[in-house]
Amino acid sequence: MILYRFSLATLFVLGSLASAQVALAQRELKDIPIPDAEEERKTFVLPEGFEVNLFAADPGIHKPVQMNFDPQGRLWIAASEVYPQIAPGQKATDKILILEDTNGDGVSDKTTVFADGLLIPTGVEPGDGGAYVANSTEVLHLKDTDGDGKADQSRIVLSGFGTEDTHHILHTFRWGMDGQLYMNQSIYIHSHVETPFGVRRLNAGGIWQFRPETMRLEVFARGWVNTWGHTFDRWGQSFATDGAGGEGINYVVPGASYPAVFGVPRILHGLNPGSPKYCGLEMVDGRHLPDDWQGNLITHDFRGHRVCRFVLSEDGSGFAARQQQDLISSNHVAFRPIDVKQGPDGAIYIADWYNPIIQHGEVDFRDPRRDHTHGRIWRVTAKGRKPLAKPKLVGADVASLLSSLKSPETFERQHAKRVLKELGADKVLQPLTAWVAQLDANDPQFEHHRLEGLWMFQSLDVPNVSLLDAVLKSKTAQARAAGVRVVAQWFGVAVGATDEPKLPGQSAKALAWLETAIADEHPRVRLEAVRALAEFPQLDAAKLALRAVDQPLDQFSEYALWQTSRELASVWLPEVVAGRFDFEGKIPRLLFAIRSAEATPAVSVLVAKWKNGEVLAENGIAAVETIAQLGDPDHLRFVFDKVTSNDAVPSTAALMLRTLAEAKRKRNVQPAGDLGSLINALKSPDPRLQLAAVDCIGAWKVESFRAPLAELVNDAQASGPARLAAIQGVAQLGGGASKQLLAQLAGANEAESIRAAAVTSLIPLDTGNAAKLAVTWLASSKEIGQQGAVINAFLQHKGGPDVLASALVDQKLPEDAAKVALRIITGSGRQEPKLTDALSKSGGITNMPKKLAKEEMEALVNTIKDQGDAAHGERIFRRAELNCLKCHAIGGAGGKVGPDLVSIGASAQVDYLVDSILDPNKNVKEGYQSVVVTTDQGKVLTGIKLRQTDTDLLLRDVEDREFGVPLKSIDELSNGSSLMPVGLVDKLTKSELIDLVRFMSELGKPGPYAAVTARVARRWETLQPTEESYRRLTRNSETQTVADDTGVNWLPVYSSVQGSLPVQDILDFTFQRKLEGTTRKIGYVRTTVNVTTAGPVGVTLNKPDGLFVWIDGKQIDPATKLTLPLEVGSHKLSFAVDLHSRTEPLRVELTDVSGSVAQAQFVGGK
Amino acid sequence: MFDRLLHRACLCWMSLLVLSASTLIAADSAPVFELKDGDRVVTLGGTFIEREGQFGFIESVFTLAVPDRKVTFRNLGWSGDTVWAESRGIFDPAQVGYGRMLELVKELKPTLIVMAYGQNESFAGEAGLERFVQQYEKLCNDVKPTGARLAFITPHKFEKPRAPLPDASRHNANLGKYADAVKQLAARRSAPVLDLYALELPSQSLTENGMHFGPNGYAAVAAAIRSQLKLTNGGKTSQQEEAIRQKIVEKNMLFFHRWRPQNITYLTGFRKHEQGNNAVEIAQFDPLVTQVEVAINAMKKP
Repeated sequence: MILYRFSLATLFVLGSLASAQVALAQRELKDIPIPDAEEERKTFVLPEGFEVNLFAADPGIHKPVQMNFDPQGRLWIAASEVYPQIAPGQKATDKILILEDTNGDGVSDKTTVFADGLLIPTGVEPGDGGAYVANSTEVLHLKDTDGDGKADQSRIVLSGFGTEDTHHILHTFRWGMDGQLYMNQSIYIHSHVETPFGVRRLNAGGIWQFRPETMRLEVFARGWVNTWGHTFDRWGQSFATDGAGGEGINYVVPGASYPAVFGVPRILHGLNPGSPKYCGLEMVDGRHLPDDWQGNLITHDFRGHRVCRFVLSEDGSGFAARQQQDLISSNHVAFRPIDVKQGPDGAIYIADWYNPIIQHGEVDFRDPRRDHTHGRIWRVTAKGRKPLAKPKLVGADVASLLSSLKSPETFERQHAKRVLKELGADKVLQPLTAWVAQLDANDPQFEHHRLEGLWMFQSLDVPNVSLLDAVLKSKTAQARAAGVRVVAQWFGVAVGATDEPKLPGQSAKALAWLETAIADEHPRVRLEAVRALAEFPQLDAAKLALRAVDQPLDQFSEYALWQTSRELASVWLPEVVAGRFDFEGKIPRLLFAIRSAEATPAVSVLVAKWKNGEVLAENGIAAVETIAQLGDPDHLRFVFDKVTSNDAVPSTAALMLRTLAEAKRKRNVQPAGDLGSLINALKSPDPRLQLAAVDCIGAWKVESFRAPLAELVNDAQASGPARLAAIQGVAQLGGGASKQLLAQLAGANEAESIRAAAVTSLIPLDTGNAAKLAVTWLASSKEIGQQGAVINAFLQHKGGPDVLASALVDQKLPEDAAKVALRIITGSGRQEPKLTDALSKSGGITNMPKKLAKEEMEALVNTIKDQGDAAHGERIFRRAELNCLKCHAIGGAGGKVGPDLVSIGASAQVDYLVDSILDPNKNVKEGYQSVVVTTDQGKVLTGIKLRQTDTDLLLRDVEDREFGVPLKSIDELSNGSSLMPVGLVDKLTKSELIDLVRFMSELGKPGPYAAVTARVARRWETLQPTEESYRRLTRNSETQTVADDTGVNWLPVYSSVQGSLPVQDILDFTFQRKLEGTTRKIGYVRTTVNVTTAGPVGVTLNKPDGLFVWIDGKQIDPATKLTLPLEVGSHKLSFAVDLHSRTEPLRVELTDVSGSVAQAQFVGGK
Repeated sequence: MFDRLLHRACLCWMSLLVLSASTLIAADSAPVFELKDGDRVVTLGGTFIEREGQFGFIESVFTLAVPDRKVTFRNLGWSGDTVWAESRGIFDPAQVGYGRMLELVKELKPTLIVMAYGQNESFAGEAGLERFVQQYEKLCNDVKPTGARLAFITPHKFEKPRAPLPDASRHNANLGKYADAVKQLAARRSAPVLDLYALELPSQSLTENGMHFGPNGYAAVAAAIRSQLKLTNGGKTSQQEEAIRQKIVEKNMLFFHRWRPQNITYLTGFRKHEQGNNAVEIAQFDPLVTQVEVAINAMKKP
């Protein structure tokens, strides 16, 4: 048996295992399927009661990129064979095709080439007598003027869209409920579009909103990597999916920013973190589909060959999206569902791009396996439910079209509005007004019909103020929310716009409505009001918006208000500074506005108000944070005096002092004047206050405190944390005395943590001596964690690694200490050849990444496919020593340093997986390459780049912590290597490697390792058996131990892919029962539930036997089905597991309680 | 002999408003613009320049005006662009895009650089005028090392299009100020300027949205330029002219793929480690451009 022992540091993280490096992962794809549609169809698995037929296929059509129906029920397709890149001398031959089912048998029987000669068209939406088409840099309107079915007129509507990546170019066209055209672009695109309203620019991803007849173009939302899906619910709320993000369905707040946005400091997130990437999105409804499908969202896991379904429900100002059984799952490698639309017959149409190869970043543009000729449209229907008759809209009279606005099918309502719109206001206005007036107020759908009427006016771009007023008074909150958005569209205009609102000079009326809406009982109406107010650049709007602070804010509404506060800052800030305006005297509103807008000039006003006694104790912390974040030395002095006064509450004062110390570290600002009065805090009997004082002394370098600090450093009786803080303080004071003290301490007979801290603190003061002391200490050190901290400190000091390398010359280190150090270097993403060499020599280690010959690889791949045991592989993956989950989540549970592996097997080939494990630097997934930052302070920091704001670079370090580096402080920025260690297979036998890879290759494929749709607990913590935890459990009670964290450690542990926690992975405590002469083996685990809407939450246990259960430290009786009334916020669900009696894994699922509005999710992450 | 031909074919650009007396007087002392044999013309600007490349009408007029001279045109227009190169930053700040633009201009070894800025900048109104002029001056200085002559095109007037499009002509006051600033700048540099703002155009609507010309608009502008500058068309029939224009459009499209290829993220950008091998294709457009240019030269010969 061959043992893959390439030596090297411990197998640590699967850092770069590029889950999503789909295409690169496909390089070795060899099994190209036979492109037979029926063979493909046979692989489809659908839920009970649904069936699928082929609507259209090659050779009639090819490579469908986007599709949309027209009001006649014909399906328009943008098809590109030129993708991914036009070759020199190649003609642009891409097409717009129209498919038609003329006899209603559910199969297309007519294909028309509407347009030819296009260059990678990625969007098509019929309208205005032709179709809008995304044609690389431009939006064209193509029209057939002579009725032969082929476009003979082409007009450039908009131009200036970027083409930096052809799967990112303008796409996902869709008419909104409001008659505007929504268009998306992806992350690498930079667009600069001239309009009569000025140049509109969008760098990176986002959703555009465009009214073709007026040329008004705005950015509706920003962010995402590949915003390949956008749809509306029946009340006009927007939802989006991301074909390269992992957060599932996104609820889109107007104007908000989402992951991967450029230049925005804060973002909103999707509703389903830990999801695979999704492409396409359609809300489905109507009489063809069963009741529980109404309003569902359909999207595609195009890498995993699945068509997925989500159910939406209300969650505060936003929504929750729950995944259901797949609409289609398949193991056909070329089945690539990418777009979805509901047809005129109520069936669900799926565009199958049909390609074994996806993406073009990593697989060669000219790769011969790239499919340029095939493509299918699949049609899914509910069995036993008749397809709907196609609505007759084109050519219908206005009255009939208006009655279509009451249709239960969104298809019919939307297309009727298009037809009415194209008939024109002259023909439609009068009958529309009459239709609205005659609506039956007793109809249960009355308010929705009326809203459709309003949207029809909006589509015609003709304001109807009295109808808007009526809609704003609807009983249905969703209708009011939709109405509020129309207020902004008709009466508002963004800050800085050069043009007038649609209805100029009537903002008073609009603000009166918004004043009502900002106090609405429904959080979404308030959110819409907050966003609408941003379109009114006047003081009253700011005043009203901040009233939202008076009611509870959730993640969406808080974000909306943050944004509006910033957008209106140019309006309110000067007034606040001038003392003419103070948000109606409400301090929390003022604080919210100042902090959101980072309104430095307003801090003086805040301080003055505080002096005046207007800031109440309950707002104290927020006020201090605001001042610390933005204030000048005098402002900070004011806080300092308050905190060090005798009547300060110690716990609060400690928090405030630390906030002040932060201000020094982050912004280099400290309280003005003599800081001697810190002595009170330093001498405080309250340890928290004392620690905070030490923190401040170090940060502010208060020389007069050198002696008391040194005293504390040397005081063996003082608490560990106090001494450690004092060591740092001494180091920050600097000078010869500090060097001497720290050097002495580093070599002393002290606890390892003290010695390590002394060495670490000495590095910036005297690197050479620190290195010598470090080597001496490392030779005898036993504590891996401390060793890591010291090595890290050298890495983070500019030039530190080389000094340490010199100190290692001719010195011996224990092999394990050297391995730890080498692992830390890898985790830093840096190449430190000198230090690596020195450590290897000192520790007697050799290592090289393993390369396999082609034949070896082929043999290995075959063995993996034939003999690999995925179940065993999963156990290997979960082994603590491999630490895979430290960096790679599966389904959102685990680290984020490397890509989520939830569907790696569905996209990556086996040899790619093997390669990535053997040599992590071979294929580093884009977005997971580390960057190395050198600051002007000589610090060297490493992390994965998350995003960049105007002021900071945000990174994630190897420990999964997010941190920001001010752009101003960056001296040098360079690319690092993979954070995943080389030599991962060091401790694996060949058969173990085979099983591990087999497991990974199954992830995301249909079968036992497919993504799980149920809401199961995946991220757990297990109580670490330590002296203290034993003491707590025996002296106090279990209940107290699970309720109070002080002094005990909980370590992360994760559920299996299938969603249950194996009992073997729970750390066990053994208690002697002296009387019975028996032992009791028990383990403690807990998981966290985040509740966003309060109410009864269902929790289902696979088996309650051998369990004790607590919710938030309160014991409850175990049962298969629990109903827990939970408030908004985070809740700990804890279990004691009898490890003698229980062998079944622990599976905990959140379920809905009938009649409950509660929304809850398990918290994932590391 | 050669001198005489040169003199005859010399093109005089200046304030194009040739109809008013004052301009005619000014014409005597205005800087003379000529397209010389062997000229390599590079054009810079926003959507006006970019779309001219797609339609080719103006380039056709100038191509046909010098049927016996070899002149090449390289269109570097970019929608939304300004004198700060705001559309050219791509993954970098505009400033870096500005630097790249200068590099590209240099690589093309121009003998004449025609710049058409001011339209997008004019949305900043009076308040933005000074900054605009300063930066335009800087741009002129920055392209100076190429040794090329400079020529300017002012913004044109906007129109009041059919409702419900907004009345773009309300921007004309500002556009006029920016046009004036461009003329003054040109005068300071003794460079010729094509005053599109003052250009007399047929009365029917030429724009599709009040601000951007469609094919008819470009054709009308080109015709007005030809008549007002008294340029010949080399005795070509309208069919021959159209054939040449189509070739010009084809050449411009090939050159577009050359200088602004799709997928630059992978070809030359920060992911070039993935598809940089395919960047060899970019240069393969050069011979294709040349090939079409040879055809254009043959077609335009008297």
